[in-house]
Amino acid sequence: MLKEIVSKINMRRVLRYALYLFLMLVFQTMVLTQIRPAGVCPFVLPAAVVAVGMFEGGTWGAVFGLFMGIFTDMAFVESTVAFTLLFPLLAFATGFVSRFFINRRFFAFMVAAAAGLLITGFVQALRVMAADGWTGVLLRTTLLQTLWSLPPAALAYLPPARWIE
Amino acid sequence: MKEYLKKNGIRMAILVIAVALLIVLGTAARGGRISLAHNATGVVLSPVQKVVSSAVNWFDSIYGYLYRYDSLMAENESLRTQLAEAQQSARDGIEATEENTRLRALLELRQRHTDYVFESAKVVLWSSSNWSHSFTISKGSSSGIELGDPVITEYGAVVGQITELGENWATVSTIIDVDMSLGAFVGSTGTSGIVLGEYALMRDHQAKLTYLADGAQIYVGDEVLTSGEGGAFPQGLVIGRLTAVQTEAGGQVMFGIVEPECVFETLVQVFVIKSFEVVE
Repeated sequence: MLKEIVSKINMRRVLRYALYLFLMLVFQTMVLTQIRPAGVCPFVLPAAVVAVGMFEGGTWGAVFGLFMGIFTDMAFVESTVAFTLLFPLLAFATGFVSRFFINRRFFAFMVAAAAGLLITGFVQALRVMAADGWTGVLLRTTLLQTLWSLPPAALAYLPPARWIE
Repeated sequence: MKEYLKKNGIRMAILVIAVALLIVLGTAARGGRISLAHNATGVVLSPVQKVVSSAVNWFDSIYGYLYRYDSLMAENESLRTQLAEAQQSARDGIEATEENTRLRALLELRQRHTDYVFESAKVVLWSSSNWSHSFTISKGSSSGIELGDPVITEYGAVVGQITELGENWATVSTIIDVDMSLGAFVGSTGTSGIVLGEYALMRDHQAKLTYLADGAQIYVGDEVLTSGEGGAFPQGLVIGRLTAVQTEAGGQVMFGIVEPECVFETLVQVFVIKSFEVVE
């Protein structure tokens, strides 16, 4: 598989996705951090991973997700490898589902992104739950985080969708 | 489908797990210190963060001007009388004046604690995570800051602790963060305990005072101070005040809810205590 990846490397494509990754990280850590309706900040990075998984397929999506996961773990003080493991899985699952079960239209993406955001929210909540036990506040934060993340998630759809066209 | 999963899934899973293991082992080997790549990312992003932070502050002031216009008009009359003073203040630079005030308060604190070695730093950006309570500051290891250093306000109120350290940046986890715990004692009664971050309380900008001794007496309004136990924080810094005294579900164990003295929303500048005398 690595041979396949290396042989298919297209520098332009790699640079595009590197720029996409950088811009999404900047958008998340520097812009979205200022927006906190009801004290909850949107988390758009899982949607970016889902978008790449959907348009580039499971393998490339997982590679992108791996890098996005590593940088997200660096950006968030509370996680060491949670996103490094989760994001490739999300991207691969999206690639798999979009190959066999769903199309690549906007609505299908939003449904997949919502699922990805919700899974991410629950994974984040698990860490806190392990220490403090389950409380309604965890569910509230998870649901609000997912809900607030959907409008900016729409932005994550556009670049990969345009590049593939 | 099966072939797709078999062809791509297993090898991809092995690759991802291998990378994750490398990160975990690397982190463990460095004893909590960040990696070179992490540091480099911070060094590269730090100036961008500062620019974004300034831009956001500027937009915030414009937004405030537009939407508070009516109340500003009402205040206008009373402000006329303060005009001369405001002009002087403007000439000197409001920011410089505010910083001066903070430094004066700090000087007072320094005179009380001659053993403290401070490093002032600006708050650059709050974390966008909903699961922790932390922010980035403008100074790092190049200024002599170390991992675990306590961070306070100019009035000596505890803000948090350095939990990630880069060359020119550092991450401060605040005292209400879910991963934070610090030794404390209640000023009025001398009861000792531990101030712990708890998620539900963190959302309300509060923390929990727990692990109190049997028969301990704590009351609403009591001041909570650092005990200095463990040597991470100097003794006697203000953590906050008790706003409630409750018992755990079983009704046996008592704990207090602490409202931090530090108002996190208004933090602009913080002071890292690089060195202090540990009281045994």
